[in-house]
Amino acid sequence: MAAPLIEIRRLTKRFRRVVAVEDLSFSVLPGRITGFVGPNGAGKTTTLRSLLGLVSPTSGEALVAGRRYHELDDPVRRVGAVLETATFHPGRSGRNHLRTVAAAAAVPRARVEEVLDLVGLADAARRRVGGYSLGMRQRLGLAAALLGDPEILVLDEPANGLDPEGIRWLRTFLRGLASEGRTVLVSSHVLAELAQTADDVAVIARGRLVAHAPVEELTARAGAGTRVRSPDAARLLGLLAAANIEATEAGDALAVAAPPERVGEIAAANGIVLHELAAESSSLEEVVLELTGAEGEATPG
Amino acid sequence: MIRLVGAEWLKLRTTWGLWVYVALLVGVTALGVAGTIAAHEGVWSDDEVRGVFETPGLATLFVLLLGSVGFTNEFRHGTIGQTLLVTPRRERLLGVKLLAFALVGVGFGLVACALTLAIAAPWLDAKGVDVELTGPIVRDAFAGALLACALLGAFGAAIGGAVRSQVATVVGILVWFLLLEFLVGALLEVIGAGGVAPYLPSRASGAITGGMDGGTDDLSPRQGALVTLGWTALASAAAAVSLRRDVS
Repeated sequence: MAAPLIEIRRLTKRFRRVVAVEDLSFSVLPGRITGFVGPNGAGKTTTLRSLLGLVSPTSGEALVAGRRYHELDDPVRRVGAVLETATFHPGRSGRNHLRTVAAAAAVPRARVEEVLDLVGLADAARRRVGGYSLGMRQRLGLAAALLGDPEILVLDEPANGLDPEGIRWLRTFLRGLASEGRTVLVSSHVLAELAQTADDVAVIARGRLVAHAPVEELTARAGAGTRVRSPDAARLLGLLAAANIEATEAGDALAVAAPPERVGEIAAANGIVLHELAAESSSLEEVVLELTGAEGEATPG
Repeated sequence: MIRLVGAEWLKLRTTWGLWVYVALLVGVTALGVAGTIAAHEGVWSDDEVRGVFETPGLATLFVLLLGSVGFTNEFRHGTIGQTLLVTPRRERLLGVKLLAFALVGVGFGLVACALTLAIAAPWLDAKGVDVELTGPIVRDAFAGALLACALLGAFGAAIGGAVRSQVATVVGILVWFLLLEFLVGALLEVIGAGGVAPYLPSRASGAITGGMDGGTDDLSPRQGALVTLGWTALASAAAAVSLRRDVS
């Protein structure tokens, strides 16, 4: 198995009396999108900033490509990062912002135009960043992260401030990056934003890891991943049970603890007619709420 | 290192702030030279001629402010995070900033010297004042101004890196250089430690250009440069410590 590209090892960060992150460990495997989810103030940003060498851990370590960030030879070509609320000098144009980063990182100028195209900012490149919408700033941040064509991407709340269309764009964009074999660690306080994008999800609450699992597993834990209606419900129920998938009758439908894809496949393979097949997207949020809310009362694990 | 210094220059010239400073520099220098020559009557002594060619020393205050604003901009606009992603070693970033603003200081000094020359040389010539443009008076005055600008550019950046807050840095520098140092000097005089006053930053850096106030107890240009270098080193050390803090 490939070595993890991002490794958080027993990371603890205390700011004066506040413990932002406590004994946090998880790793991100190559070629996967890992969602890093938790409520605001859970310690996501502190963790990512520790990973990027902006915050020094109180104890433990956060490694990227097996090293601490400042030990990387050419960080911009290994790791691309978007910091939370990406900030720019308001008087500089988008293109010039990217040029300053490119110049410092010895990235050729032509690459600036490439990444501008990639994030769809080419037309706004001459304008001052001060006049950009939040969505445009996020895109500019992504463009800067991609300058060095890095294999690893660390994105802190890139969906923040995006409208639904922007979120859809981001989802496709991240999928595209992952399909090129890149490794992505992306944080969000809304799991739904990542549920269709991420392969794995690490859930953090009050500085502690409360879950780290493939998305499907979390979905399964929700107990109701899919709502399905079929004239042949009884047979479907049996087939699902045979496939080790939990399902219960809910009115005239079934509540199934598996993603719609899985349920649909099983139905199709057995020639079962479906009248309705719907993802219960809120269920994931419920899992997270349950996980993050329960933390503190019960010891995890 | 050269690459990173080049990137700093790009950062600086892609915002309008720099051009405001350049415009102010040009305006103040031109006014300074023209005012000195126009107000003068009678025969020109060597010291008076020197005074005209020491006008580029005015650039030092602009350079000092530019260096401090240049560094604190990173904190004010939150770009320090992005900058550290590219240059994660903080001592290295500090070195880059010091060098970049020393060079920008030299650039400002050159602009001020060229402007002074362009105004003063034909004007004095028209007044019948004999000035040897390649002689020691002009040469020493200009060399002093360039050296002072280089040192104060780095000094300003170092102060900015140490303080981080733009408002505090700019206000602090202005208050100290334009007011407080004179008061402190007077106070030192009262308590019988007046000998320390020439070593304070404003007086010491002023001495490099050859005594803007011409006080007899001032340091020589060489001593002034050394003392200013000392202040810059001190501020740099403070900046190195300050930059070790978390960036959030």
